[in-house]
Amino acid sequence: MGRKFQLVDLMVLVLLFAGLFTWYRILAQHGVGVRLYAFVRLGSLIWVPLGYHCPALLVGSLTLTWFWLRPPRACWRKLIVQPGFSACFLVSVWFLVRVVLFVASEGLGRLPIDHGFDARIHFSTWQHRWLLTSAYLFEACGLIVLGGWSLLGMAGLWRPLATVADRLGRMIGAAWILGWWVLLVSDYQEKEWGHAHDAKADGSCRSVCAGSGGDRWCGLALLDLSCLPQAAGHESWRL
Amino acid sequence: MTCRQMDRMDKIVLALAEVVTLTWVVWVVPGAIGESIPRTGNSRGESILPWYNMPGVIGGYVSIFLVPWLLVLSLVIFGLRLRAPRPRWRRLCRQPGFVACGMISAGLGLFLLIWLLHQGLARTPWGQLSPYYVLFWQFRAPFGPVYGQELIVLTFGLGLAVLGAWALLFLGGFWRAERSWLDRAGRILGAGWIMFDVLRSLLFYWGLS
Repeated sequence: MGRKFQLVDLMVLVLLFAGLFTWYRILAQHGVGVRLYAFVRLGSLIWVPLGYHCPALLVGSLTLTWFWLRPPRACWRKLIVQPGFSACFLVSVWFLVRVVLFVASEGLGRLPIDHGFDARIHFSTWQHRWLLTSAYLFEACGLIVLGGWSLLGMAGLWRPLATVADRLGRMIGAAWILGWWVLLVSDYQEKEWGHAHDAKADGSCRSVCAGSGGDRWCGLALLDLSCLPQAAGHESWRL
Repeated sequence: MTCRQMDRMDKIVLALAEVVTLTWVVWVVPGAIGESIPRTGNSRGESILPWYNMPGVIGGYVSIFLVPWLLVLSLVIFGLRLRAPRPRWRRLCRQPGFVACGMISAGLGLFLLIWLLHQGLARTPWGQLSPYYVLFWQFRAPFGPVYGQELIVLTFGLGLAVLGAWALLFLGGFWRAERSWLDRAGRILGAGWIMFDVLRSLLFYWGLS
């Protein structure tokens, strides 16, 4: 990264920070359910700081990767063995894969295919859908960084550099792993809530979770009750 | 010579793995599906399936049938690769097949470690006060939820962890594929995990749109 700061770097930084603040704006507008549930559930309480913290980490990872990969840069062989770079690079690749999948699914959603249910939930805007699925993005980031670092360590390729960039990259990687752990724990708490409702003796309130991984999706669906006016009044959602 | 042929022990272990997987699919999976069906209605007996996205549900059921095969075979290939004769550890960690199966095994081991930690804490007198008891209470029943949906849900992201590890190996020039049945099988499984994860994610996103 030993080169001058150029106009294109500034443009990329502005673009990334614009994306970050747009994300925050969407979160502030549609994340009402999170804040409401935070009073009663630990899982949602953890979601609030994570919801704001993870996009910042993502922008940090993308920015560092950009600066690392801009020419003139070191060869891949030297870059990959730096744990800071490998963490930021893996997160960036993962983010791009997710963006591609999301765009592909948006395209598929426009096809005139009947899913078989008339009253299926539709999240009205792509921002809603992006917000709802971003939890998976964040959760997998920590897992991927952990896997990449384990590989580097076990293959004898862990060669940290005493540079600001690599140290910052390692800090970001460690923060991703911590976030993954917290999300994993809070996810179980979400499920506890669902199962506790299942266990009511009179059967008056059942979990809305169904199918494989339903609990997890249920937890996500609770992220934004404001976009689910039908769900908010549904018996199954009462506490 | 570290690249070995399939011997009698390998065949026995693979046959056992097939039996375990078939048992899982035939005996446990219908139970897991049945477990989820009664929970798809409210107290008035109305179906709440409309609340779900159909492609996502299809992805879930595809997972129920695919994960046992991928998971058991990954663990078995990982274990067989560790049998002697084998390359040095550092060289082994540059073989894509071993890395793929190692990632899956390590991920699963990590989740089971958390579960065991909870089991241990829950048995102590102060266990019920511990945060682990509160946070992991539903794992109290031995293998109850774990065999069904939980284990399948926990595999989210593992395929993409394999993709990340392969990207590091390939771009760094450390990709040392071996011409042996073990490494080939590992590579096929790794590719299977990646495709499965991508398909599952795509179906889930599609269902929301």
